[in-house]
Amino acid sequence: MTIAIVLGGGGSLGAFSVGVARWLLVDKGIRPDIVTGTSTGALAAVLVASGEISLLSDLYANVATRDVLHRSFLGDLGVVVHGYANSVDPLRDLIASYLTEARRQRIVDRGVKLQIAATNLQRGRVEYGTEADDLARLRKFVLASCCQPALMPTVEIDGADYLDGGVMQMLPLQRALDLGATKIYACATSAARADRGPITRRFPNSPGTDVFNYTLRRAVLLMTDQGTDDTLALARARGVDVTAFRPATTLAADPLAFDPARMAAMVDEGYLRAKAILP
Amino acid sequence: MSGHLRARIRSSLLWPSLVASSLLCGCGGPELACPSPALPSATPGYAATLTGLVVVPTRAELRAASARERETFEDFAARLQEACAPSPPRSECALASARARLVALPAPDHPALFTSVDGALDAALAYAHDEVAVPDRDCEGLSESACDARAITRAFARAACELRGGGGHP
Repeated sequence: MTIAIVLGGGGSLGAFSVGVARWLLVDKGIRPDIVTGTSTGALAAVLVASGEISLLSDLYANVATRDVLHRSFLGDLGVVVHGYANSVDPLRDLIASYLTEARRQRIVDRGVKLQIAATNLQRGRVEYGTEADDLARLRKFVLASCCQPALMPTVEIDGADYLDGGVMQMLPLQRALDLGATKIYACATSAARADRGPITRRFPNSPGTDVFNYTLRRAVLLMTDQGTDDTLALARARGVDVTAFRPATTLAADPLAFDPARMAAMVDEGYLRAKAILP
Repeated sequence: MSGHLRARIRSSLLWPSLVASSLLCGCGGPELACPSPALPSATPGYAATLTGLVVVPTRAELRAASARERETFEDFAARLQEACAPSPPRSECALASARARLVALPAPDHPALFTSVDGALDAALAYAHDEVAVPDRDCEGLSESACDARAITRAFARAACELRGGGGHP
């Protein structure tokens, strides 16, 4: 049996998947052969692959927004001026701190295939950073995998621009199938029956803001909800044994707000959800 | 004093101040000292690894607990701190006795609460022991029992503090 753990995107909501992974690795004793990750799942995938689940849950329960993003002083106008609304310099530093050469080598030594999904904007396809890459390239893939369109900048790798793997594959399950996984544990941050509530209008009289929020909602529905449903259905249609872990209801948190108390609560929610699904 | 202010003061207490604070309190039981919140070290040792493994299930199980069950657990964690914080730790800082006291705690509203926490300890200990060989453990010359008890005590304190808002990276 070839076991894969697949970690989907969702910004701070990825804390839910961390709780799931904690249950799978520690309480169920599952040792994955393949770990794939997109966006926040890319960050988590590194420490799941290295077996350092304790460090991972500590990190997700303590990280704050300032450790990840630096909001442009122009606010949403940063999209017009720079092409993105947030600097990811703090995230780049965070990745450099935790994704070290020793850790990459540890993954190699454990024989785990690490697959970090990022979208190549030129070629219009998802490509993967792996444990076999040199450290600098792997770090770039992790960073690119986290960078949501418009909200964060693109990352240049080998002369091409890369962004969030979730643009095309919110749940990077296809790669696990391609690598021969026969048992897949898939962690998604969207509920199976998502109720995302009314669209927020920060400035009710400003049509421009509404366009932004409606476009954002459209992207979330397509990329996150529909994308996850389709991916799981595809794997099951191919006869692969998939256990999916999704929140019972839509997680009530802003994916770009990293509040430690809320993150810790989502880690716990993921842990208890996994315990209920796979006792 | 507001609850928020009290929580801030508690969060600023460090382990060495534990004895002094309980003496000043003069009210019987020791006060739970909350560890300073911070991003974790990128290269955690054995003790931090075990602590991190225990925090999640403890905190998760306690979320459903009633106020009096949480209070019972906080008192228990504070007494463990009193035994495990000094160097060298007191004789009561031992894994088996700590677990026996844990499962004996009253949980009238959720009878399985503390046995669930204890059950998660088995898996956490097995994982930590498997990941870090004995010679590589940062146990400062302590016995395995005391070393594990001290790491678990830190986890219990963190879980209790994070649930009441006194912990977590600000």
